Amino acid sequence: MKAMLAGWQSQWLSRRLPAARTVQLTQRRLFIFPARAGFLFLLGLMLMLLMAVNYQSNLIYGLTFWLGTLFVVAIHFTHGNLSGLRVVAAGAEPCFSGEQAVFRLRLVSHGKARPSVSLGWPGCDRLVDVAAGDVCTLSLRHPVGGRGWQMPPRLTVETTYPLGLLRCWSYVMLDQPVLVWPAPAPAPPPSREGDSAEGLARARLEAGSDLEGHRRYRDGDRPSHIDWRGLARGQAMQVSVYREPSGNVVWLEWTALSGASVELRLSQLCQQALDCHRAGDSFGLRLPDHVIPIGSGRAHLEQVLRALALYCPKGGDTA
Amino acid sequence: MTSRRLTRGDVLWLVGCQWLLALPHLPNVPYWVPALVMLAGLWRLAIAQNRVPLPGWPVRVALAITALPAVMWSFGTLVGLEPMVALLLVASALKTLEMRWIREAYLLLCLGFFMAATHLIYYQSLPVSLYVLANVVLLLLVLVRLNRSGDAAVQRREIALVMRMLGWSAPLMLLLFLVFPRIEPLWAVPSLGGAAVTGMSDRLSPGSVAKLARSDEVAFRARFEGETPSRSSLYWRGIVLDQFKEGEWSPTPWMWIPAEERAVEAPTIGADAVRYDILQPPTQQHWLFTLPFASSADQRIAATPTFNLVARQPIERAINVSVASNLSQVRQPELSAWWRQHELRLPSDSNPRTRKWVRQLREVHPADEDFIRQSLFWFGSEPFFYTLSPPALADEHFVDQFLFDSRRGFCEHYAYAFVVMMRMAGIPARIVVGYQGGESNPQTGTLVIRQLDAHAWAEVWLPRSGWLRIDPTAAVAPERIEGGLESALDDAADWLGEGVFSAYRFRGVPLVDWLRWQYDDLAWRWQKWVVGFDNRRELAALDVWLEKAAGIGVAAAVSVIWMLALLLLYQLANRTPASHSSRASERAFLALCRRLQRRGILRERGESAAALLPRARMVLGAGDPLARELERVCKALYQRPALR
Repeated sequence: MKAMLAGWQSQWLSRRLPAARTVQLTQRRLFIFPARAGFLFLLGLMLMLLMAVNYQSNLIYGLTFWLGTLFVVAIHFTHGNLSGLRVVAAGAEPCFSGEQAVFRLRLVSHGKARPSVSLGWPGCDRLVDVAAGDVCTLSLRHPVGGRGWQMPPRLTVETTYPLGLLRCWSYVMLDQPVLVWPAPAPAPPPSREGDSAEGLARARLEAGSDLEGHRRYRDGDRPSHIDWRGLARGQAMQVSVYREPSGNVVWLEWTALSGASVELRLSQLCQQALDCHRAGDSFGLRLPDHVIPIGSGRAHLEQVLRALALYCPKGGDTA
Repeated sequence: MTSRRLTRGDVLWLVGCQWLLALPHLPNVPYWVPALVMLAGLWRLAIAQNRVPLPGWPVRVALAITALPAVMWSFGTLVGLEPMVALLLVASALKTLEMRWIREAYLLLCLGFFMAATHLIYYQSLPVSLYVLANVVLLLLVLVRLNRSGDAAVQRREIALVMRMLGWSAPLMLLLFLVFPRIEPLWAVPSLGGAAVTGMSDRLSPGSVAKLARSDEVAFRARFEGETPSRSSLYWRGIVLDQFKEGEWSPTPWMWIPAEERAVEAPTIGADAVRYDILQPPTQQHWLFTLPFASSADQRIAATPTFNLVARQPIERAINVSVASNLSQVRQPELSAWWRQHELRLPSDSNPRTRKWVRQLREVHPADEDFIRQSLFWFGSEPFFYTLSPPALADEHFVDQFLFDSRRGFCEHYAYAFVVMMRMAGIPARIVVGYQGGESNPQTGTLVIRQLDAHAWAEVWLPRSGWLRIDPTAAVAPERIEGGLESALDDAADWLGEGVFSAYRFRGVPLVDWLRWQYDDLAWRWQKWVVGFDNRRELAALDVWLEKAAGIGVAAAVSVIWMLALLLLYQLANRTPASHSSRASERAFLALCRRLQRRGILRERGESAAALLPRARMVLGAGDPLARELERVCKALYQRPALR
């Protein structure tokens, strides 16, 4: 019953608030209801009204009415704090299944400042102040399962500003798919084909673009390897470290992993691809319907992982 | 949404608000309660500074368990307003000690709003009301503070926000204040046990009026329709004291008057009657002070057999009463035997010297009028002195000592002695206490009657003339009646001993006077239109309408007005600069954009005219009429050559 209700609510929400890359929080998207503190406040007002009646005190009547109408005005102010705010999907980093995907969002406010806007999912939310006419960028994490393109769950944007007596919120379904690679699983080492001159040559050609990471600058490092962008962002001076290709050439074969299920195979292939990349090998991927030629470097790895993530087995092919 | 922890700044604000809210209740609760509030606040501040940990639950439970009996022990009961206030204060103090999260602070703040309202039961003056309002603003600021992200100091825009919200709700508040039906109390509420009975006492002993006359506190205010009567006729009758027992005069309790003698006939109010409004601040007593002989149509007011007006309920809040007085009304032209005997009663063995002296005088002047005249003449011719600090006299044979030995007294001494003399001579007489005179606000004509105008005089009964006012003080010190207390006192040095810094003391200084009268007028308006506002009476003109539209109709009307106002409010606030702008030049620009679109120049969303112009020039050529038009629109939009 509860699940059914939740299902209906979800359906109703997705009809009412369809997914989009940019969502402007308009009047029909916003919900508002007294918060817990608001009910407490109203209870206090009821008691004050009783006091005014019983003590026949005009001043208490006045104070009660003022606070009561203030509550109504607060509906408008709380609503206004979200109304017109734009939530823009600003991309998401691919990640492995089971990890926390990072979704980047931009909040755009035209005209006025919107303090204390909270957005996120249960368990991960952020409180931000959006300045007037400003764009506020933030990243939110959410664990993802499965593989392939995945949508983030419905985002809750809410505020209780200014008085905390009311909660105004909206559910934002952002059209912000994230690519989820299969989770790596322990795999037998792939069959090596030994050094191939062709592979080595290609690997050499691509060397230099294979960025492994950064380390602190030491005297004598090449100026061209200094991470100037990071420096400009105010980070410490770092140099980029590039991987030297090993010269091995490996084919990651779908068919070599017979017996396991599709998902496990993909996970194993993923592990193999990562191992090869770490070892500096050149590698290619052979899937039943797709072949990625030999290559190396981070871009190549991502291409391979993407193929694994999006692999769609033919009907009946479960072997 | 996760609730964040209270920061040090939050705690400081919360504790500060709590202290300010406890302050006006100092006189109403035992001393340990504010002390507890103070200590709990200091303790919580120390916790916030990480000096000490939060008290564990055994400490909190122990405090909570001891608090209730402590309040009970202090008051002897838990029923009543003061015990409730004390409990609220104690509860909020204990709550401070355990709050860690923002959601816990909300309880304290809601309690704070309630606490602010309790002040208004006790005090209705303008300054206290403003103080309460300031507290409410502070509470709202704390609410805003708790709901924003940072821990910075309160910013000016937050104060502005709270003010704006209060401003926006003010019209709706006023509307509700005006039309909300004032319901009768739902149940009998405990009255203000702790509030002191102020003003005139209904017991008169030598010195009781003089004590009152040292204060410049406002006793009540009056505003006349038309001319204010001359000062010497402003005798505000309050309490009639016609019963002498154990050295003091007191009013005859209503129950003691035989039923057939209680009849009160209303004075005839003709065209020459004096009409005025009395604004009586709370005294916790029934007495009202009116010019003789008054009547009022007000349901809250009753008349007494001694021709006074009294409130049916003790005056716990300022009330505003419309009164009409017939200054020349003859009251009781015929005095019944019971009344006659009652108004002549005296202890037979007291004051032998006076008795002897009265008998001698009465032999010379058998006519009542002559006797009264001669007595007053005697007061004026003998060396009697009018003073605030007369020597203390023994209770026994007081009149003898006063009339023949000390001869120094304040008005109550003269009234006392005079009434005793009259009763000894067989003339029915009684003491009246009230106020005499009053200070007129030159800007508005409102009469302010202060405690220092307290006065006691006598009333004697003569056949056919009824009760007549005789003021023996006027015979001794006529300046008192003409010019007020200060002009009559020879020893004004220690006068106003209580109000050293009162503005009244500095009267005569033009600026002080001006401010004093401005404030006085404001206080009058506040009392009359806000505190004493009675929409049943004030909206009498709307009665017909209200009657017709009673109940659901009124509610519906109010709701509709409210909704419309809110809708308007919403529309006003959410006016975003939309594409359909009202400015003519912008409309022209948008029309032009549609024409440009037909020529293949598509304006991007948010692209300005200035950005569009170079593109249009490039595509169409600078000489194209459409490009020129765009250039003109550009100039109109920015009011200067945009691109040169």
